[in-house]
Amino acid sequence: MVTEKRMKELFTRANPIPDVNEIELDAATHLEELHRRSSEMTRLDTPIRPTTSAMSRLRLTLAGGLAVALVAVVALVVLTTSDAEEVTSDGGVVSADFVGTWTVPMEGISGLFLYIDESGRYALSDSFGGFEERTIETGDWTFDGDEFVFTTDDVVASSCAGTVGRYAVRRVDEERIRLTAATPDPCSERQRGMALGPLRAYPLDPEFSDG
Amino acid sequence: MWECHLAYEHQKVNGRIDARLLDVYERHYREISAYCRRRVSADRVDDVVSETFLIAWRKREVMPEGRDALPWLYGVAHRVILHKWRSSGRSRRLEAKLASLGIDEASSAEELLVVSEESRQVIEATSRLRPKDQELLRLSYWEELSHAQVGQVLGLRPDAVRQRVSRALRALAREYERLDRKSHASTLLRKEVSDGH
Repeated sequence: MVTEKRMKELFTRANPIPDVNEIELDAATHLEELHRRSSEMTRLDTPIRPTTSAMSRLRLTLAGGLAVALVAVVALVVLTTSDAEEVTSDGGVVSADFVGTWTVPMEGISGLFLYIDESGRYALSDSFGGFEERTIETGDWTFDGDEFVFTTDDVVASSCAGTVGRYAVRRVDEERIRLTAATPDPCSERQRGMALGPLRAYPLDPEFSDG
Repeated sequence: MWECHLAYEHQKVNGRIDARLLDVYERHYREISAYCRRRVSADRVDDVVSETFLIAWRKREVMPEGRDALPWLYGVAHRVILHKWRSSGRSRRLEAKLASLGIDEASSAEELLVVSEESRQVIEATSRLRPKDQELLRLSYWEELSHAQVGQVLGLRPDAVRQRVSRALRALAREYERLDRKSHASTLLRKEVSDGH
């Protein structure tokens, strides 16, 4: 029987780098790289932050809140008056049913998961049920007209931090929607992820087929 | 003219970085580098370290000062590793492959650095825990952070960290014992086969 105390000793002993002083301080290499990348980033970042001011963020949040409320009301009216699919005249989707979990299944791995919260938050993860532990990015979502807008949190540790991505939403069928970048997404990884295929409502219907 | 402007901008950026980041570098480079070496393969360490300090520079306005800076940097490095691991197609394929073998990429990277059989077994047992439990143990016993600091990195309350670390240690002990039994059984089998010949 291995006790907690013994396990702690064994784990501590397994530390591959027990002494950080063994590491040489090589700031020059990293700083040079940092200079280059930060300089590039400064130039690249400038045009892709339309909502970074506090006022515009506030406006976006308020507009988002109103849009969500409007969407919910419209969806409620549609649901109570007709069995027809909630598709707008030009094919766009405006539905409270958008709230929930969606996935892009990918061969070989579990897939990409998009969790849409009714409070206006979203999370992208590569593991269902792992939004706490395996989150790729988090942020706020809103509808702006027919466009679904991702506003990634500033604190996300990636090049997507603070970016705004605008996507046209189309319903493919009962199970699937497609998010297509309305304008080039500054978070190119997100755009690539969304371009992998339609998002399917999760959990998937086991009898659903692509045919 | 345009090139001159870019050079001027570059100087300005460099100046800001030199003033702000050199101090952070000198204080925490070794810890962040060690953190990365404990979690990713050697060929990716420099990239993750650079990205971590790049984000530190970008977020310098919210970066805590003093003793809170290091846990904050660990949190950044943690997310950089998660992001890089999952955004790379190669890593995704590798992850799928390793998942089918019951181990993960990080643990295999660590195995390269582990010298003793006992430690190798500990690392393998650790890789079977949930990712967050693995990170709780590493931060607690390899980075030697307090419960409050671990909570700062992972967004958990200190009392939750204490409970989860204790639970993770018990789970680790179970996995370790399981591997140990398996290892003994293999040794006995090899011996029997050897004696049989």
